[in-house]
Amino acid sequence: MLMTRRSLLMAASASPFAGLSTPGHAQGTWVPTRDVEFVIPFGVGGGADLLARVIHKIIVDEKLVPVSIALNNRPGGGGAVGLGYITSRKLSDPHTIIVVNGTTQITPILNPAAKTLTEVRPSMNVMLDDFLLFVKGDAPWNNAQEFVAAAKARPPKSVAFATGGTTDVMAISVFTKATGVEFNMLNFNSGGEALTQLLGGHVQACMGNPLEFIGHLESKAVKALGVFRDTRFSALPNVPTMKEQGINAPNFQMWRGMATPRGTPDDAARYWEGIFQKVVATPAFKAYLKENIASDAPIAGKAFEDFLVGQERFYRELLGRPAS
Amino acid sequence: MSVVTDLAAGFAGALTPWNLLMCFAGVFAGQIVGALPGIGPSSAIALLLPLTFGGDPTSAIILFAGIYYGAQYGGTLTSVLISVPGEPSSVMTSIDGHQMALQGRAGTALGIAAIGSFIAGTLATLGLMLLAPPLARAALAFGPPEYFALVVLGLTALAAVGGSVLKGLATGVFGLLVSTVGIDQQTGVARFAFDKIWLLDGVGFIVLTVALFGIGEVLSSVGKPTPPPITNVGKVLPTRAVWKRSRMPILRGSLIGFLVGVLPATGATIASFLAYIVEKKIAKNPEEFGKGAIEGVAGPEASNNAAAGGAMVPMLALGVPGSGTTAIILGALIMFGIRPGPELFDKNAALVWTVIASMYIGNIMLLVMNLPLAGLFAQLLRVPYPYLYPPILALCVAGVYSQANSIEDVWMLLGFGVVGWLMMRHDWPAAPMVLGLVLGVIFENSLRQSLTLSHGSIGIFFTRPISALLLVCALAAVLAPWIMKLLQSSKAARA
Repeated sequence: MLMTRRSLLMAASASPFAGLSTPGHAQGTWVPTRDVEFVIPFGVGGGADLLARVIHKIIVDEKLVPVSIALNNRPGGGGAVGLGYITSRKLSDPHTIIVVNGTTQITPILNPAAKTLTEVRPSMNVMLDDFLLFVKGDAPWNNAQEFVAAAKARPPKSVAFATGGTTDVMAISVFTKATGVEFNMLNFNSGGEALTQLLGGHVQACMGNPLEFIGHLESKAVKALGVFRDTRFSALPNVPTMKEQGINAPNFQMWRGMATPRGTPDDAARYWEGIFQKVVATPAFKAYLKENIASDAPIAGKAFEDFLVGQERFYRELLGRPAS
Repeated sequence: MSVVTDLAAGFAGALTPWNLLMCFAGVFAGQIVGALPGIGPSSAIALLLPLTFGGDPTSAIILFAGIYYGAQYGGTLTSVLISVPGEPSSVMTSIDGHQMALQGRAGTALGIAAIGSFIAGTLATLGLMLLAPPLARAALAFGPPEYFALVVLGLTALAAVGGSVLKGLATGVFGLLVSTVGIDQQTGVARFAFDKIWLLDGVGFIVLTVALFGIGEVLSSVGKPTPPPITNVGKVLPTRAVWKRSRMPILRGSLIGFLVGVLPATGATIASFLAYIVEKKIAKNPEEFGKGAIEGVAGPEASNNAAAGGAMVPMLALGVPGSGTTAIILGALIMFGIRPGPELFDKNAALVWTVIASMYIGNIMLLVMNLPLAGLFAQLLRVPYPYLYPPILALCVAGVYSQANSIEDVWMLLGFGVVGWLMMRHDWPAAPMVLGLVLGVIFENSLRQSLTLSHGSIGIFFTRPISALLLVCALAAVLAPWIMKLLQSSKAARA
């Protein structure tokens, strides 16, 4: 019976995700009886950390759980250290919740020694980050087609991108696959550093999330040539999709969500899904998404697990590391 | 609008009781996290961030900026008194500062550090106010080749930091080697990680700094006869002679720190190294460095404070982060619904000018707070050493553990602590190793980024003017001793 409900969610997840957060399902019988540990497998101050702290604040402010929640940063190894901590100590204790994201999923693809998502039971996706193609405001190209045509006219790898992390690199490989153009890639520590290189004219383009570029987009210091989505992004209605411009690039977004330890019993897993449904429905969370120019995308339980299987296949294909 | 009216409006905003309180809370918290090894300004700001949601963004940014520059004052305290730098940017201070403490001049060292920090902080705020937009645009001229050349210039300091050139180079190169541990940024491949996930991020600056200086110092003192407690801590307010020796280093340190701070991707640590090395190179008596030269405290301390002010330039003028800490402050602006960008100065003038005004006020607060505190904390040295060492060890271990809640970091701390002890025992300088680790990452990445950009041609370093100029400076720094000798011998020959 539960399966049917989840497959319904799954079917619905193909359409826009809004409206899924109706708390219409039965709560499990499990409730936390001790303090809950909220593990953040990333350092203090990063995007994942801020999201975790916002979710924590909402749970506390709205009094969603009857116990207190302690935040615990366990950074390192692209999420692997924090999830290793879960495996070693909290394998089936549902008094533990973890924030996870696309980076956690990419880590073991690149470094098989690191174990991440296999160690947890995915609970709910809360948002998606988009990727846009940015060039300097005074660049001669006004759309992705002109950009691609110019790149094709030059010798291979003469157009340089600055990236702020693996996910940006993956967006570039999506673009390369769709256009057949090879680009030169310079990797930096953060999107901010990549943006600085673009503004300085040291590289010709960046592939980045809207958040880091929006101020510069508004002041026309940079322009966005296209977005990797099937439909236009409501926050940036003037930016055409790649598909509209005849570039056959698939939808490419990075997910961020919540999980519990791998051995979490079903009733506890249902409890946490219910809590996270309530979190994403709050005005405070909607405001957070709006400020971060991210897409609202609650996908819960089994649907989330299936979504992750699809993402894993997609990432492996992009990174050239098919599952063995 | 002119600067004067803008600033007057800024002071009107910053002098409200609430904003004054936030400014004080910020510099006070900064002072404390700065003194504690392990926890730094960026984690303190990130931890306080959710508490400020729903409040006034201006007050929050005043608080965060206060923590940032306040931490540069706090780092001095532990460096001088117990030779454990609270922040990597205080490593250089601990070399001569701690020697001064051992000689009974701790108060003087802390006093000059506080005054130097105040002057540098104020000058940097002045620079931020008057020059931010053009400077920030100039900083954009720094691409990978320019960073590479700057780091090469920094690396010429390796040999000069310690006493022996050969030993300085050796530990510096060891630091460079340590910097290659972990995931390689350009290809994503793990190097020297031995399938250990806690090695994927490499060896932290904090771990190495606290190990070599803190643990190494404690271990090496165990084997020595107990020194008598230091009863003389010296005057906090500088004498005329001390002031005369310190004022130029403070001014030079401020300038170097501010300029290095403005460059995104370099920060207070590199600024303090460069200031130290400049002071040593131009000093009339370079042999005093490492044995308690006041210039070796004044220059780097001014420099790391000015760098904190400089890092605000790209943040406020361009909306791009100038350091790890300003990246978090930028994140905070976004949480408040303010979109950082090139128009922040125009669109959010009230916020920017109030924060700038609060930086003048905060620096005065820090000076007032630090001068009496310097004398008070220096009294700590009167405690006999055997009682002081267990708490120092506890502070080192707790500080390193708390930055990532990682027990593996503690094992690394102890391992490198033993290395530090061996180095101290055989008189190998530790600072070049930290410098190697800090610079190694930027050195390798900027080299590979540049060569990617140029498709493998090293010409890119010589055809770009800024990069070529910096490389010529580096060459001159290396050749300077020989050129001097040559000049002197030719003079002697003529005479």
